[in-house]
Amino acid sequence: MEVQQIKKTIKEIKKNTWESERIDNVPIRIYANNNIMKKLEDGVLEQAANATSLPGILKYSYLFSDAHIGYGVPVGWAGAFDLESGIISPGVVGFDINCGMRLIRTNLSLEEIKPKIKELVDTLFKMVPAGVGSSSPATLPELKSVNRSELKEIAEEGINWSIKKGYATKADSKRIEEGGVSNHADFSKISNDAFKRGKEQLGTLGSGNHYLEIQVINKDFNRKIANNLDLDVIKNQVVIMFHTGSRGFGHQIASDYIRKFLEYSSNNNIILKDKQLAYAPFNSEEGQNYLKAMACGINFAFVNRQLITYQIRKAFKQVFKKSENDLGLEIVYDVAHNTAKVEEYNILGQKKKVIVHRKGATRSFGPGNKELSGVLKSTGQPVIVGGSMETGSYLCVGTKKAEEETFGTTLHGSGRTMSRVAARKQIDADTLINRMNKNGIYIKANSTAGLTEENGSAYKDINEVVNSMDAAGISLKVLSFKPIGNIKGSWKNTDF
Amino acid sequence: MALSNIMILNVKKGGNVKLKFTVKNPNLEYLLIDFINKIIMYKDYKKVIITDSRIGIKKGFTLSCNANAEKLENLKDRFIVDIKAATLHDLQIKKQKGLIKCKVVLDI
Repeated sequence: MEVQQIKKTIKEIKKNTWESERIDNVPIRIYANNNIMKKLEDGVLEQAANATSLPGILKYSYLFSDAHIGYGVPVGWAGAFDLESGIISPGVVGFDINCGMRLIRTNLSLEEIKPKIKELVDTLFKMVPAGVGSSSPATLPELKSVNRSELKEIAEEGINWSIKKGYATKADSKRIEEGGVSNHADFSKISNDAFKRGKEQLGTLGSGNHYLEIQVINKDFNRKIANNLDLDVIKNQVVIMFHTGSRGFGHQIASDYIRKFLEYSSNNNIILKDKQLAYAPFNSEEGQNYLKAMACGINFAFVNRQLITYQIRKAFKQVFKKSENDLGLEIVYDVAHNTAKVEEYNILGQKKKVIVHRKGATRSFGPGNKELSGVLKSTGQPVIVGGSMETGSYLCVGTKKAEEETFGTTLHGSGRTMSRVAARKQIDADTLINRMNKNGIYIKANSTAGLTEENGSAYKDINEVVNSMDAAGISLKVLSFKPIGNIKGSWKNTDF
Repeated sequence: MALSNIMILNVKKGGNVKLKFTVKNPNLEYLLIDFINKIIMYKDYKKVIITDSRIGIKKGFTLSCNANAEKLENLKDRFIVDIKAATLHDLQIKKQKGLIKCKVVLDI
């Protein structure tokens, strides 16, 4: 069906919830307000429509309010597949496996941090390597160049490796999706090229849209949940949010398996609507091999974010000369974006395990879910929504409704409105830096190109995308944050 | 060179790191993707950018590459963007006026 025809069939079935007619195997379901719907690119619909042809897809091809064109499927997309008749696809998961967000609380207020913001950002910049060609932190010598058996341990054990080595606590692991470890991991399914790319990248932030931000709570929408998570707007509380994933290791796994799955498609006469959608049946040997390799990528990313957390804690202790306890540097939560996970849902009154692909989308489990523990059992799973470096971010929580409607999935960020090249042409670096400084944001980044392509107007309005999901009941707003210090991927120390 | 010029401003020939590798794929389009992904792998592994190369393709689509490369560290003032993968999105290879024209979308 052509995109224009699909558009004619789309109807709003309830608040901010839209549906097309069935396309191949299922319809498209979209969560967005009227304004976002009007601006939805044809390419996004075309890619979501292509995904409806994938074997074993269940219920819908889902688009969330932050959806924009990706490779194969849009970013801001999800789909669940039957374990028997369904597929697994590296292109649908995405290149940066377990690219994700971590939010860390502090006991510090804006007033306490303001006089030291430059020193803090500069210290973090030194301790968390970022940008192209960066290697693991010099202060963590055992990670400078890990060998294959060491990387095997890391990739198979995930956060448990970090606990064993003293980089994490058990309390940390309870605040990470899946407890910080995917049990499917099998390092024998990893290529030597993936090992070579990943062996010096642990504890590094990366480049592109990866960042580390010091933020202050701006507004609360649900004070009870916020307080249960030890967050309080009245205290002008400072938090740390960062976005990174599995670095070159994850990219290489994705590239390796896309190549293998294209070969599988060719050998099995599978006609693909888009080559980036190359797949293998979930239960095939090829499908299981990818699941095991992808799980290594998931664990690598969890460890990567944990090592960055370890460095953040050290930097704060150094700058504020206080103990970790006094600083209260605890993980609020860590969420994954690009994954495929086996999860159990009620489908037509029966419990069924499915493989949920989330591409630029966040798990959104509601209160009472068996995966959650401690206070999260009553609050629901925290959903961290990163905005642009100018406009701020949100903390939301997952809902039962998400589990019932979207295989427990919601949005992940603002969503781009233009390409990086277009964004670079839109604003010059000096204007952007002045604007950010005027708004009280201190930034350290490498190149002006990298900076301008992430300017606020290159993204959708974060308030609108978050409100769309809130009104639809798929994830609920708890707090908003505004940035006061930002670090982006860099070659060298550059102050703005 | 096209790939290097996306990442680095004004790439100059004659880098002093030598690289030699082969990639195989029976499909010409995928051979191109594999070739680009191998260059990206070396960017992370050896921390280098290829400055110039000699490429040969044998029967059965085996591509051999002898390349000169420059350490990233020496190019940091001319960095534009990091490339992380070659995608299959909108991939095109066609003959045009006696030349082969390729379109590859890169993940950055």
